[in-house]
Amino acid sequence: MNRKPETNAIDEEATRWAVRADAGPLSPEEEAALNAWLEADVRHVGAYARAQALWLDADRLAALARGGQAPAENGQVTILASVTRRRTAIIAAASAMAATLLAVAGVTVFLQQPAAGPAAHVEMAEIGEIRRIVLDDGSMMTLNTGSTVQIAFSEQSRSVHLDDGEAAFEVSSDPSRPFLVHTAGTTVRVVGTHFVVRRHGDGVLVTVAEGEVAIERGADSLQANALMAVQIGSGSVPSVRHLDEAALSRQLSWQTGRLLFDGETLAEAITEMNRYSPVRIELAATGLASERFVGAFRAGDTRTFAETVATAYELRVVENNGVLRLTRR
Amino acid sequence: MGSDNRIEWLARAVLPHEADVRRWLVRHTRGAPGIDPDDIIQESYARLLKADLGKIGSARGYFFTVARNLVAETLRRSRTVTIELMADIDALNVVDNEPDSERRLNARQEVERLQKSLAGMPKRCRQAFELRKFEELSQREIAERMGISQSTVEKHLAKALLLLAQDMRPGESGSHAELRRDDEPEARDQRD
Repeated sequence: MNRKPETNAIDEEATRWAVRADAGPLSPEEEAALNAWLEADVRHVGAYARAQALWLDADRLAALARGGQAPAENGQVTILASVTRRRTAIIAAASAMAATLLAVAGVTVFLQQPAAGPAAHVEMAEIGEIRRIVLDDGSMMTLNTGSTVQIAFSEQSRSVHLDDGEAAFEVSSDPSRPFLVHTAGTTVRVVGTHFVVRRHGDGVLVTVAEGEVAIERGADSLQANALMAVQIGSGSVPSVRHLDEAALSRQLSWQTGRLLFDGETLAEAITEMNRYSPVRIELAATGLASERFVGAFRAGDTRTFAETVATAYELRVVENNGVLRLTRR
Repeated sequence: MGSDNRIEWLARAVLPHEADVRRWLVRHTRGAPGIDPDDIIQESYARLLKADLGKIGSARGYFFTVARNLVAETLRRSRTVTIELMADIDALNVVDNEPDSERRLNARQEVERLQKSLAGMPKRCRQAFELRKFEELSQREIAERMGISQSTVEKHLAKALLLLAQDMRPGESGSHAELRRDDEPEARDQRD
């Protein structure tokens, strides 16, 4: 591609600023220089935003590649949401354990399958783990913390049973083989799209990012399009909620190992954080549960979350037996 | 919404479609005076940055629309544009909005591309990038680890990001020879 040097120069300058911003807060002089540069040309503004997005996207790529140095073999890549470099060894041991469990579970399921049916295999994500798995048809499945699925592909259909937890799917298009997700008596049927299914007890929450899905449960059936969240509970009428891009982006953020809160209650945020770690947070201080909360956290980094909340609401963190209690000072 | 969320939206919803928009631009504006696809892409990002996300149904469709409008605006300002070309552009209001056309490479392809891109980077550049993105060292820690100044770390990282962005583009071989060449002398020999 024949690129004009001037434009290249803009992208290069924008990239330098994006990397500079990653190093830490800009000095007042640097900030003035950046602002002057941004104001000089609208292309600078766009190139800077693009460079920042590329820098951020490199995290996703790194997460995709990390721990999966040979993805070509089975297309399976593990993202360890809570990995900080100090904890890598512990998590690695835990995921070796998970691999063993996986093998055992796989055998069990295989024995339960009648010989004629497609052979199912089991995938799971342990607490604190987020796994991206490339399925045989090229579809991408991301398993959230504490989730188990059974996968059964045949020539007629592609079936995934969500036994527990939450999974996101980016489905490759194949009109001859519908993609089905079964959970809690509910079936979500798609041709090609990006959506998330979350099971909690008997209830199911389906969030559609792109495309369209059909959802069936008993006699109920409905269509859901992009930017819709459908909640189906036992004995209640399915409810449909429309999301804006920002709300959708928050609901999908766990796929990149981050949790974004913007106006959720503190109680909701704590429940969400607690899904990703064996260390639990307990809000012992009264009167704060419905406070609105804003913040971005690494999934599994319960401690940072607790400390941030403590600072924000002038609380104390008391640790006891794997529980971080937030109490009044 | 904070600007971080907006950047996250750009990374998640917009970046995967950039290659298609660029291809579309190159195809439909070839020979048009004063139109540079890179300019249009950059300006598109500036508009996407300020867009009202609540009103955008599909990021892909919106990206195409913004790019097309920018082309039309540029052409209207230009005095040398033929009536035919203008009509062509005006007819382009039905933009490519196929949901499945080459959005993002699948994860396996992405990881392969990433590894290939890393392998093609100058050694020190790659090292700095891996320390930042894989081992999550801060730029200051990378400077200490590599025994270089923080500003050199910045240079390495910026170059790595430019190369990566180039290499991850679908449909391009990712040769960026002039960028690779001008690194430190040691880089050329030790690259594999």
